[in-house]
Amino acid sequence: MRAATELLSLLQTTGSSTANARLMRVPLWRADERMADDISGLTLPTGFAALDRELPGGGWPQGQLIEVLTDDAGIGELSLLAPALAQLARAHRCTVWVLPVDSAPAHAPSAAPAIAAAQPIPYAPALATAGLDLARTIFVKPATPREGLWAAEQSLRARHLGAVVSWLPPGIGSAFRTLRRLHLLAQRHQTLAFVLRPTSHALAPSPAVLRLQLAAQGTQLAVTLLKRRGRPLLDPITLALRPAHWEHAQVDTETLAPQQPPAAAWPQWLSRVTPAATALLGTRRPADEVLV
Amino acid sequence: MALWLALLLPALPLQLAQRALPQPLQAALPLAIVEGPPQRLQVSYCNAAARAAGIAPGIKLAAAQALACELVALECNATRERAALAELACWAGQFSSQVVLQPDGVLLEIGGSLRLYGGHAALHGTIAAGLAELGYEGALAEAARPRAARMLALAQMHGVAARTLQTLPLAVLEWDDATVQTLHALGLTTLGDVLRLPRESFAQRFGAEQLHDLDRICGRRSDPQPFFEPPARFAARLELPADLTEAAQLMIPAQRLLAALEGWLRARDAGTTQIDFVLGYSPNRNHAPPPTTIRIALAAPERDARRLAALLAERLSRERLPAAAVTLALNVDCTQPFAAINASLLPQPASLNVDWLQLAETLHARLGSERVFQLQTVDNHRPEHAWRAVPLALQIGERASPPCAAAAGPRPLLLLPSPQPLAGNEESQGETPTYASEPLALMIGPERIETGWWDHAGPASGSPVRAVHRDYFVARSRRGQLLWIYRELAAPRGWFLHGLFA
Repeated sequence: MRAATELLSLLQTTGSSTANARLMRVPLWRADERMADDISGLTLPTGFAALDRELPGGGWPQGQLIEVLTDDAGIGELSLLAPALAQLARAHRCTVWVLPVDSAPAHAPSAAPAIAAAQPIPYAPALATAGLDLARTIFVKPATPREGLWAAEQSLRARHLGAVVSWLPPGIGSAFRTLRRLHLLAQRHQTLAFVLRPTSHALAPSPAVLRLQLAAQGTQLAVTLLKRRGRPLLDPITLALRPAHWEHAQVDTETLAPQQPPAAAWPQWLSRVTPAATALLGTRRPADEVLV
Repeated sequence: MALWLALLLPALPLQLAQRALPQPLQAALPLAIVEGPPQRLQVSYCNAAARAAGIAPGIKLAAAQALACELVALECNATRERAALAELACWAGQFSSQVVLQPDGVLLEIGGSLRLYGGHAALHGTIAAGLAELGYEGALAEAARPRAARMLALAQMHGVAARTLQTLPLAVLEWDDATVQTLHALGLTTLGDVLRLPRESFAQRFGAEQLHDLDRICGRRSDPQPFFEPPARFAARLELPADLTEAAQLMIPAQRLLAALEGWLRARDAGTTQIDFVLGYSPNRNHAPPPTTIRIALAAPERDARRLAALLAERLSRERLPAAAVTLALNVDCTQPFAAINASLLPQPASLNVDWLQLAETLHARLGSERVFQLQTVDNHRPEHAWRAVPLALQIGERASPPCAAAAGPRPLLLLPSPQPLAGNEESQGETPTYASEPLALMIGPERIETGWWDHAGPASGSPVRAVHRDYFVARSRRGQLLWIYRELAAPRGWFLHGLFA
């Protein structure tokens, strides 16, 4: 109380510049500063310095719901999450992926009719190359939106789970209440909880602490922070997710001269094998077999 | 030193009917057990709700039905009672290897188990809590001789506060009525009075058999007991006295059966990976729906009734029952050695594994193995054969991928289950493909993948030849999506979309 009156008298009596100088030493948060790191709790570096600089606490908040809004599959939405997931894999933490429902594609319903026909699945060799631990990753392919939500909730209940990556299916009652449930469950064991949704939900209210909207910018990814703790950020952050030489890479279509398709992909060395081996392999010409 | 514990269940037929009911229904539903010839059925036991309606043991069924219209009357069934006692004996096997079946309960030799369970009070508490889980109320008494333990428990059942054999009433001897009446006429009311009689004259007056019985009670004569042999398969069954249609209501009788199963598995030091619940229905207009079997498969041997009940609840919530179930049976055919999770000095890895197993089993129980899986890389140059889905591992980190040669070119994070033809499949060579009616810009490529010539699938699978001859490219769409597309080198030279650089 005394301190407050002192502060008031200080503000009234001294000039504004001195007041500012004095205020610097008071532990006071001002609205134009980013929120102090200790408020945001545990975070995990995203692996992108430009993004880390703008996120409170310097990374993905753990134990908080993170909403990733994206329409077009293939702009780098998973590459954005991959460094954090790889980091969890190095710490031997487990990850659960709740994939989109097959019948009602949550991802890119109108823009990409070709993809909507059959949902793509995470590709194991690429995940392994990205540093994810496949032996500690569970994939769930729900049949109904409700099953997907249930699986995400069950996963968040498990202790020691590193992260849950979930495509939130549309049309499960109230989206706000659904997200709120996930958010509260994520707090239990400080799980990293990513929810991927279409950008049509950008204006809808959400309990998520961090909301990102993704858009492609050339081969780069433009990340707009729709919501974060502290001061809002208006300009999108541009992240280079792809190898640098992809930036202006182009295939010269002229070099793709029409080639004669091979008559048979029968390796050269087989022509040199002994007649006995040829007899063993059968009497048919190899070309007939391959081009059935 | 041998120490016997008698566990007797008073009014067993009534308890059998009551244990299948949830608590609120137990208190509200008037229930009576009737016996006698079909024309003259008499109430032999009735519960508190029936007693409140004015029904008492001994009255006729017709009179009882007039007093309470919603009365549920069940006939005594000796076979069912014997099966229930056998189930109780199976369960009791976890406390002692020497279990003796009695007409209304079991006798256990607990002298060897006292240390394991931490003394009399702890063992009594464990057994009483277990009985409550089974849905029974019983009388427990212990003594150095089996006959004496039974008599003390009987006295407890009849509400006689007797701590020593000497003060027990003669009724608990379970001798024939004439003998007991003669003893009463002689002015003898307690066991102590009878034991003070001279042995020779007692034998002359009442027969040598009664004297031997007294000797067995006092330990002057050996009293060998026929021990119960637990069956190799577990099968228990409950009749449901009321129509239970909701899954939550069925969980109560299911928990009773699972508690018995846990005892049986503990006695064998085993766990099980597969349990079958069978729901039976009553015939409706001469047509009975076929029984529903709910099979719960587990990843690792399990015996914890609470975990099994949680898995069953998940399954029951999905199940749609054709009618109200009237019987519930639980069958376990095979058991596996149970490996308990040991406490470790460094608790982290063990609990990590338990978490993994519990999560895997929970997901697996509800969604099935096609919907919950793990991925592995396979050393193969063909992109669609370079991975496979495998069922969930029991041990964390068990499904490590075999070492693979690194791919020559970039690989997408998402792969389409089957390549999709892109528009622009014109015969004109060098034509750029289009995606969503926009032309694609080829960025990286070509990466030629041309292999698999040896791989011939049988006629059953879709494509006859699984050899690939393709040129792969990374292409960018107008919307900024990076796509993994390829051009077929064989006949139609079409463009296909195969993956997304998500």
